[in-house]
Amino acid sequence: MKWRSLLGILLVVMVALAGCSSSGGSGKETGSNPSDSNRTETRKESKEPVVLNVMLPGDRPADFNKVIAEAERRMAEDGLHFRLDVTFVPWSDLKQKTQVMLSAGEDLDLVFDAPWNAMNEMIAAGYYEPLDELLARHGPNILNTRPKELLDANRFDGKLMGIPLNNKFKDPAATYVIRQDIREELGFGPIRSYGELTEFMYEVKKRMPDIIPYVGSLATGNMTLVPFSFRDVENGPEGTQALYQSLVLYHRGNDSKVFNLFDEADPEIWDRILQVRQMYLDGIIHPDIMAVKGQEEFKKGKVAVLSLNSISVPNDIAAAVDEAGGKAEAITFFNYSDKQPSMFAAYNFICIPVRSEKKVEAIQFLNWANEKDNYDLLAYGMEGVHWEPVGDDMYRVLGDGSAYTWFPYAWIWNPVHDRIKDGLPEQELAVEKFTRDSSNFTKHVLAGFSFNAEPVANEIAQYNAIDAKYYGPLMNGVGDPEELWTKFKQEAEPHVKKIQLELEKQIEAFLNRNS
Amino acid sequence: MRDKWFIGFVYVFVTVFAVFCFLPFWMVFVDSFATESGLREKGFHLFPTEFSLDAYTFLFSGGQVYSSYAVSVTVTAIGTIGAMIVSSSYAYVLAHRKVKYRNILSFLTYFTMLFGAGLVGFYMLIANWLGLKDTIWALILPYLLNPFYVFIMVSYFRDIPYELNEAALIDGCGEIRTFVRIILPIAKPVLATVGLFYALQYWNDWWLALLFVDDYRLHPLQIMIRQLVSNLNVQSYIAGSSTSYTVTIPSTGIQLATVCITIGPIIALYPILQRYYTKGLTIGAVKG
Amino acid sequence: MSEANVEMEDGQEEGEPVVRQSNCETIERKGEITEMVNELAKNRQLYLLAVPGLLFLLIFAYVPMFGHVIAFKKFNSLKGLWGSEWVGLDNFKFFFMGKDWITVTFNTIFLNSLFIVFGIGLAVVLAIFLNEMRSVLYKRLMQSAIFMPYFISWVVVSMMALAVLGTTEGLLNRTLEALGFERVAWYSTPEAWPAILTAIYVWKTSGYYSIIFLAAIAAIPPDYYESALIDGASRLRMIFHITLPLIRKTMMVLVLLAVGRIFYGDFGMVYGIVGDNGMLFSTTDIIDTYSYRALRQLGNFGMASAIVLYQSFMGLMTIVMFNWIVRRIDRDSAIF
Repeated sequence: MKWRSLLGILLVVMVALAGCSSSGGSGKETGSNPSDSNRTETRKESKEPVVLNVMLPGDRPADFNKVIAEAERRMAEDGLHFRLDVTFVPWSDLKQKTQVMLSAGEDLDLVFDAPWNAMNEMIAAGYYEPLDELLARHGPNILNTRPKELLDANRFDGKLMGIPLNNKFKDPAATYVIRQDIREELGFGPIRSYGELTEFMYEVKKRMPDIIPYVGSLATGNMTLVPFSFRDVENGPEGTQALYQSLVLYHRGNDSKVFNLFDEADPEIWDRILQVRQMYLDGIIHPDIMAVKGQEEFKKGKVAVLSLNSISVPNDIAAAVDEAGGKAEAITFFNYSDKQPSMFAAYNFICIPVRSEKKVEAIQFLNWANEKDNYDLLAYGMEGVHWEPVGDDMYRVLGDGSAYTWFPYAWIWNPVHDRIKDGLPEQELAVEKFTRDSSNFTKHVLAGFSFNAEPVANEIAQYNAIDAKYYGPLMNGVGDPEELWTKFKQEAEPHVKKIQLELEKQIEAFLNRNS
Repeated sequence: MRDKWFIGFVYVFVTVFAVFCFLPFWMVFVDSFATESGLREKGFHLFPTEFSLDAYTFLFSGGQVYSSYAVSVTVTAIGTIGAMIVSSSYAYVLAHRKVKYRNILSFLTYFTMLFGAGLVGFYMLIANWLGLKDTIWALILPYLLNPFYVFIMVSYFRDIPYELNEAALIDGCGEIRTFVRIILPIAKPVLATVGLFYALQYWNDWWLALLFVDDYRLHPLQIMIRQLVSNLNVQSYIAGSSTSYTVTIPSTGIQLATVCITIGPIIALYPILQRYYTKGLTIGAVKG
Repeated sequence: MSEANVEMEDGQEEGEPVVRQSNCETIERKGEITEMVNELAKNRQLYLLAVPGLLFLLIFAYVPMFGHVIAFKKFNSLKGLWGSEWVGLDNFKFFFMGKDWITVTFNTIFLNSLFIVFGIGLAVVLAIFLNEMRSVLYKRLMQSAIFMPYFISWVVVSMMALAVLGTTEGLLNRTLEALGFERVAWYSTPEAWPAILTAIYVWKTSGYYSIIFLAAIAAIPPDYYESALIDGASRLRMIFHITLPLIRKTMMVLVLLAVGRIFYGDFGMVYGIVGDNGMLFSTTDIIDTYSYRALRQLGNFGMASAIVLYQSFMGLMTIVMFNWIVRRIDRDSAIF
């Protein structure tokens, strides 16, 4: 009896406390937003600086305060009395922290988000404010530094839920960083196709037993060998928005048809899978590819070919390979001269939470930041101190670059003002310029389509878990394909079917809306 | 005779295990002073071949590390003392024979170990209702009572002979006085143990700082490290050639160096606490 | 109860049972409350001592528990926590839909059991052995050494694991080759991993837990040992008949504390070392990592909270059962 009565009292106390505090707390939560225009009037009159709370991922650059002080000074001159309160959150914790803060009703005005960071879910749960009107009224610079295709392609349900941040229109296709010295030693000319690459790797295995021919930067997602090797094939299979990089559901070329690998075992893909398996058994692929960090292995000088995502060899890899006595070069089989279809999908977005009380000011700030001089300040630092311009569209870093590290991708990226780093080799410079020019790309039929995962959230969660078990080993050749595929298919097929049907339904609705 | 073999075995066993424990740490220590290329070439190695402060210079650049150290030390000191006061008095009550409701209280305490605070609720409590955001108290208060450590103390207190309490009562001491004057001095081993555990808990925490401290000047050491390391890992996947770093960051070395600068103060604390593991503090207390 | 009966007045007849019964109940309840007040008053100093702790638990542990309600809701930012739609058990569906939840639950329990048995086991052995050492300096040295692995972060541990278990360059494989055996691809061999993870866990935490036992051993009065010595007992016998029985309670407490959390896996350890290596999931994937992976691209708060509630609830059932068992064996070792 005593237990029960005590527990009862405790429960009552808990609920009471929770109840009162919630009404106190929810007062803050359900506070309505009075019309913005009224409030800006009063603000302008009070002349008190408006504090904008910004949450970005990454590191706080050492000279950040200086740069922000300069930015605030310039803004005051332009009539905008803002103070920027920027919080940096570690990449790995960004999602959790933003969700907790927004759920608790905290005051945030600008938040970084991205489709790969569960942004679609956040939108479905109503966290962010649609920006069309605000941009039309207060953000002309933002709109005219982004080509129409970019703005159109990144709408959710027809609305612009975040400002797209991008500087290229096509992901650089598959890039391989290879050991130039090994290539030359074995008598190979420049490698121009996947076939030549495989030949090269087999030759390495034969004549240099101490070197492992291939390792991938990551062992998951689209860095698994099979999908990666298709990225520069014309009309090669590409992942869908529903399952991201998994090729279980895929598109081909500039078309909206959804293919299901469980339904029909596409011969092209399966050939590659079997080939990759043979490569693993032949010792071409690193035996621990699922566990090692590919870039580290390559830097040690023990690997001949590394799959990567960047057009040129990153500084740290070049330096490390140099120390190990070799030379690294980057190769890609992508054809950069023809017009390509592009989804115009933005990598990142900057969004305004629905609860923010300073939406107009936030847009005004971003509008200011998207003017060339101001963009230069926030992206590269103070001219003459951290960087210097090389012509109109390139820049050179002064010093070792650690005082103000580059991070415009987090909040202000746009293809018009973003400068290219000086010192890139010819071919890469050409590629950079090519991919930044929107006229080089045609619109993909699905540009602007964004998949709402909510109706099939459970199936996607289940699929993710199953995928994690089988996809990586399958697509990297680590396990027996027949065995893995049977199990994979048995567990995942029903879920994938449901996802496919939902995806096709939404695609059809999208196409009907836009035709 | 059998004893000699046994003692021999004891020494060998413990020494072998200790070596297994020490060697990896030694490697971490030595390798934190190695160059990044040396690390790549040889992996973890035992003997220093070259000496480089690269990893440490990187960590200490910008001066953030000093303020973080200060914050961590302050939080740990205040937190540990506070936690010991709150926890030991509470544990004593849970262990005391005369307390009728001790089982209920124990259950209620243990319950919180299983049903931890919901994340959103926890955040709302500390940030909104208590208004502790960006204060040092957000780093101290939530950990003042750790049920696990409380139960360790309860178990120890329960073993203390009740005759001591009775003797004290006869002498006219009130319960609180008995606790402070008689029980606590005897409980030195467990107090030293739990004190160390609390100190470690406060020292190692980055979670509270992540949630509640946005002001980087108030960031303790662990969150600073976490931010650094997490962002380093991401840098290599962001369009590699476009980052503005022209020097290479010794990323592996940094991981090792962070272990070393974290362990520093604690390793100094531990030998001091070992003094409290002296035996037989109860002799004479009962017999006399 | 008895008080009410005693206070029944003479002369009351059968005809008024209802009134009497409600009288009894009120008096009963009043009696309980009076009892409680009496108890609090009698031991007021003790309860006073407990006040800071109780206050803490109430504020920092019990109040935030309302947040668990999010597991049953479809959270919408505009509607807030209280306005969001109640969806009952929907958020639990994604987890229980497939068959994986059985594997994953089993792995969690199995691995945790191994950790408890070997972790606490070795900690006890170390504490006892350390206690047997004569040389104080050596003993302190050993004590410090075994404590060190606790400080090595899981990231660094995973690097070391790779250095030992790697197929091409790992220490273990090179030794095997030198001894004439074949190399083993450890990172593709799931069967070996419960043992590997247990070994790593034990290595990292035994030193930490041994401190608790050292404190318990320090509390044993030396006269026990002295009289045993006089009786001619060997050290080994003394350990089995004096030391072990007297620290049994501490062992039980630690085991019980761990048992309640047997459904909570060590995410940092498993994710740090196994990462996304699907080959090893059949034996190493635990509830925490599974949930993390399934929800990674969805970012759904409610679903994540639902899984945590599952772990809490199952843990509660487990500890209630175990505590009850332990109570029957040795009342003092039980937690409640």
